[in-house]
Amino acid sequence: MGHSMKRKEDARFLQGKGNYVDDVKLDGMLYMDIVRSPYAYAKITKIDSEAALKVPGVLAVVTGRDLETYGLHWMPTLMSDTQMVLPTDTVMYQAQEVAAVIATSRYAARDGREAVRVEYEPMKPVIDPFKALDPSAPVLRTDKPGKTDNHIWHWEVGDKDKTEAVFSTADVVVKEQMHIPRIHVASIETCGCVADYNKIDNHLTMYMTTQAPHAIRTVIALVAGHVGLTEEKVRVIAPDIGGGFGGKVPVYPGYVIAIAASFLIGKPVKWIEDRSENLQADSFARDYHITAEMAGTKEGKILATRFKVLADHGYTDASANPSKYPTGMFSIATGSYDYGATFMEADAIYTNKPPGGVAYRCSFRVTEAVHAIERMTDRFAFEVGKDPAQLRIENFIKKEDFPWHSPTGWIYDSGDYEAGLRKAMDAIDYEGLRKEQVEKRAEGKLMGIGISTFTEVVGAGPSKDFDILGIKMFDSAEIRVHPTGKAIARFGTKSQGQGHETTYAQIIAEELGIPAENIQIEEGDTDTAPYGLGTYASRSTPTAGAAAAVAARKLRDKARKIAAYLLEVSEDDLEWEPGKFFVKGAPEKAKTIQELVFAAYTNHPQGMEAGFETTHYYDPPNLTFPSGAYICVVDIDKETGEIKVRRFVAIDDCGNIINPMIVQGQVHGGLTQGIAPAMYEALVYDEDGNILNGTLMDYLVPTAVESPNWETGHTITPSPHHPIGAKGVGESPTVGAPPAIANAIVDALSPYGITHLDIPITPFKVWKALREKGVV
Amino acid sequence: MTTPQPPPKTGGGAVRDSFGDLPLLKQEGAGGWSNVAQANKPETINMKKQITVTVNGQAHTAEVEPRLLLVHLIRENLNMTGTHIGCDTSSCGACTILLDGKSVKSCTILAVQANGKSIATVEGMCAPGAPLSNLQEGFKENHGLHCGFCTPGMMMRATELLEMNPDPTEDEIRWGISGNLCRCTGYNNIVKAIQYASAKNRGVEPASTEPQFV
Ligand code: FES
Ligand code: FES
Repeated sequence: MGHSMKRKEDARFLQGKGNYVDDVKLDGMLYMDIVRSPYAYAKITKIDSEAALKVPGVLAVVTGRDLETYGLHWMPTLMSDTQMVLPTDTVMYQAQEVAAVIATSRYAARDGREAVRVEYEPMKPVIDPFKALDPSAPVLRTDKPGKTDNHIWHWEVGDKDKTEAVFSTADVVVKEQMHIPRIHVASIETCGCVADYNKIDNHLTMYMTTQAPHAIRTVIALVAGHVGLTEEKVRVIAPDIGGGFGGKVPVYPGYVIAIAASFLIGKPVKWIEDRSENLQADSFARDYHITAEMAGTKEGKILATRFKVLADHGYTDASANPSKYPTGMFSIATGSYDYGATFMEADAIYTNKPPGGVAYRCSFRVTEAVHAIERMTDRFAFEVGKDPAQLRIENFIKKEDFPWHSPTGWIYDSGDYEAGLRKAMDAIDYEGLRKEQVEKRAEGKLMGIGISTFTEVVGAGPSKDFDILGIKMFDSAEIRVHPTGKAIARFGTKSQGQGHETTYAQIIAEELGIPAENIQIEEGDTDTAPYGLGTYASRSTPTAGAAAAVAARKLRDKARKIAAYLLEVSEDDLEWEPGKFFVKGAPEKAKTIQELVFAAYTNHPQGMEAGFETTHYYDPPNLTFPSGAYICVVDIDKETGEIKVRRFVAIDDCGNIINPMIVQGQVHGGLTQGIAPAMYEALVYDEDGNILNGTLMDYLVPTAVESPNWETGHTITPSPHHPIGAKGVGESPTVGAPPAIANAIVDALSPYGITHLDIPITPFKVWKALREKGVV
Repeated sequence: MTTPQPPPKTGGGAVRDSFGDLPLLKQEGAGGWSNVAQANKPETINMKKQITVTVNGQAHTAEVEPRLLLVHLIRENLNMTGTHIGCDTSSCGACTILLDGKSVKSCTILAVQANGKSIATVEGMCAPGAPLSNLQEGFKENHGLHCGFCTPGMMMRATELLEMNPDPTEDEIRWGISGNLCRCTGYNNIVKAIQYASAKNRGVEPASTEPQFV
C-alpha cells in the first residue's frame, strides 16, 4: 500500500499481445455489419435484401421482422424502459440499426450492407427537448399503450417549501440557465463482440466489450432464456478492454443481433462497430438542461439552492443508473457547502436522438451536479463581490462536522475541504495570480482564475438502496492461495485500463503478506470469476477492493489458527506482522504465511477445513465521498477568443492511496476528459436530427497539444467505513475539472458583465460573447 | 428482478427445433458459402494481387484484394493484432506502423501499396522474452499506458519522432504525437515515457520515474 508498484498488466500491452475483442479469431467465424437509418424519424416501408444476398460472401440479412418471429426485436434497457433491437416499422433516431448483414468476411459484410435497399417515409422529428412536451409535438413512443406525451418521468428531492421561504427572503438570489451538452465517451477501442453459439452443447460464449460481464450474462439469460439461452448456458468473457468510461456498460442492439445470428447459423459471428457508428449510435452522456439558482446573504453565506432539470434521453431511457435513482446521484448538487435548504427536480423527455445516459467517466450524473453547484458558487461570489476562494472557505462543511447529513439525504463519510483548497492555492500561488490579474486587467488583457471544490459520491452501493435491474450492487473477491504460497484472485469487476491486476494484488499483499508479484488477478470471465456488478462509477476500489481486503482478512484468521496449532500456543498469544505470525515476546518463534498456507494443505489441524481459499461478497455500508480542489488559470486572446490553459493544479482527496502512480495516472486521464467537454466536445444535431459531428474528424477528442501539463497532488482523509480507508478516484477529475475551467474563462470575461457561458466554451463562443458586450 | 420485454413467442422445450428452417439464411447450396461467392464474382473487386511485404524483418507473401487495407493485412492475414483500429477517418493513430521507416496510419494505406516495402510493428520492438526496448521500458516505468489500446501506435509514432529528433522538447513531443489519440492517460506520462527513451537512447540518465506531486 502506498507504493508506486509498476503495473503487472503492462508487459502484454507493450509487446502487442493484449487480447482485445477484435483480436479474437475463431474457426469459421462470420462477420456482421449493420445497415443504419439516414433519418431521425421515419416509417420503414420496405427492406429489400435481394441485391445484398447476391453479394459474394453474404449469407443472411437480418431484419426486425425476422427477430420478431422469436420475440427478440425489443429488449429491456437498464432503466426498465424498452429499446428496439431492430425496428419492425419505425426508426427513432439517425444511425439507428435497421438490418444486419452476415457474411464470410468483413469486406463482404460491408458490401452487403451497401446493397440493402431500405425505403423510408420520413416524419418530422422531435429534436428540441423543450418542444417535446408541446401539445402539438408528435407522441414518439406509440409502442407504449396509452402514452399521450413525450414525458418519461418526474423526479424531485429536497424541501420545496422551506427552500421557497429562504429564496423569498434572501438578500441575494442568482440564477443561470445552463446546458451540460450531450457528449460521447469515445474510448479508443469501439464496441464489439464475437458471439459463439455452439449448437451441439446449446452453449453461447460471448466475447464482448463490457464493463459488467456478470450483469450482462444475467440480462442475456433474461432476454433469451425463452429460446434456450438460460444462464448456465451463457459464458460472457470480457477480454482486454480498450477504455470504457461508461460506454461499455449498456447492451447495444449489435450485441443482441450478433447473438441471434450466431444462434441461428451455428457459427461464431463477429461484430465490431466502426468509429462513426460508435459516436452516432452508442450511448451518449449528459444532456441536462439545468435552471440553477442560489440564494444567500450579502456577506456571502450560501443559504439555499434550487435546480430544475430537463433531461433529454433520446427515444428511450437507456441510462445506466441504479434503479432507485433515475437522475443518478444528481442530488449531490448541494456540493461541499454547509446549508440546509435545497429543492431539486427533473423531468425526462423522449426525443428523436440516440438513447443513453451513461457515465463519460462520471459516477451517475455527478458531473452535471458539480457543474451546476460550482458554477453557481462562483456566480454568487461575483454577485456579492467576494473572492471565490474566500467564499468557499467560509461556506465549507467543516472537517469536524463529518459524517455530514446533506439536505438531500446523503451521509458524507469524511472530508477536509479547506485543507485541499489551501494546498491548491499554495501550489498555484493564488495570491500572486490575483495580483497579476489586476495588472493584466489594467493593461486590457484577459486572464482568469477558476476554482472548483467538489464532492464526489462513488462506490455504489449499499444493497438497501442500490441495484441495477434488481441485482444488488455488491461486489466480490475470491482468493485462492496455492500450497506453495502463491495466489490467484478473481473479481466481479472488470478493468478497462485502471490497473486492477496491480492494485488488487497490492491490497491482498498488504493484508496477507504474500508479495504482489506472486498474486495473479483475473476478471471478466463469468465462468470463473465470482458474481459482481462490474467496473464503472469509481466503484471497484470501494466495493471489490474492499472485498479483497475482507477476504484476505478471513484467510489471515485461518492462518492464525494454523499458526497456533503449529506453534502450540493459543491464538491470542500470536501477533501478526505482514508476512508472518509470531509468538508475543518471542519473535523467533514464528511461521511465515507461506509455511502456514503449505500446512493448510499438508498438515492442517484435524477438524479444520483443508485448503486456503475464500470468497467474499462485500456490501458497502455507505458510499464513499472523495473530494477535490482544482484551480485553473487561463489567458484569453481578446481578438480571436482563443483560450490558453496556462496552469491547472488538481488536489484530490480519495482517502488512502493504494498505488500513487496509478492514482495520479487516473487523475491525469480524468482531467483530460474534463477539459474535453469544457472546451471541445459536444454532439451536435440539426433540427432534422442529423448529427453534425459524428466522426473523429469533427468530434474533438483532445490531443497531447490541447491537453495541458497537469499538476496534481493530494490530501488524505480516509474513509472511516472502508476496510482500507480508500474512496475511489477514477472519475473525480472528470467531474471537477469542467467547472474549474468554465469558472476561469468566465472570470476572465467578468469585467465585461459576462456571468455564464455554456460548455464547451470555444473560441468562437468567447469571441461572440465579447462582441455582444461591445468589445471590439 | 424486472421481467424483460417481450413475452416469448416460441414455446416449450424443443427450442432448437423451432429454428429448423432458418428463414433468415440463404440456402447453403451444395458447395457451401464459397459456391455462392463464385457465382457472383465481380471481376474488379475480386481480382487478387500477389504482394510481398517484409514485416519486422520477415518476408510474407499474400494474395490480396486491391482494396484490402494494410491494417487488415497485418491484423487479419498475418495475425499480428498488436496494431489496432480506433477510427474510420485517419484521426486516431491506433493503427500507426513504420513503412520503410516512416510512421504511417496503416488504416489509410492499401496493402498493395506496401508491396515490396518493409514494415515495422509493435511486435518487432523486442523479441518475446527479451528485455523491453527503451521506449517500451519508458512507457512501463512512467505509467504511459492505461488500457493499452493506443500504446502500440503511440510507440511506433514515437520511434520515428526520436529518430528525427533524438532530444525533443516537451512541446515537440506533444506536437509530434498529436496525430495519436489517447483517451485514458491525459498524455503527461506519455510525454515522460518518450523523454525517458530519448535520454536512454542518448546514454543519459533518465529523470526519476516516481510520480511527482505538488
Ligand atoms: S485507425 Fe484511426 S487513424 Fe488508423
Ligand atoms: S491508454 Fe487507453 S487509449 Fe491510451
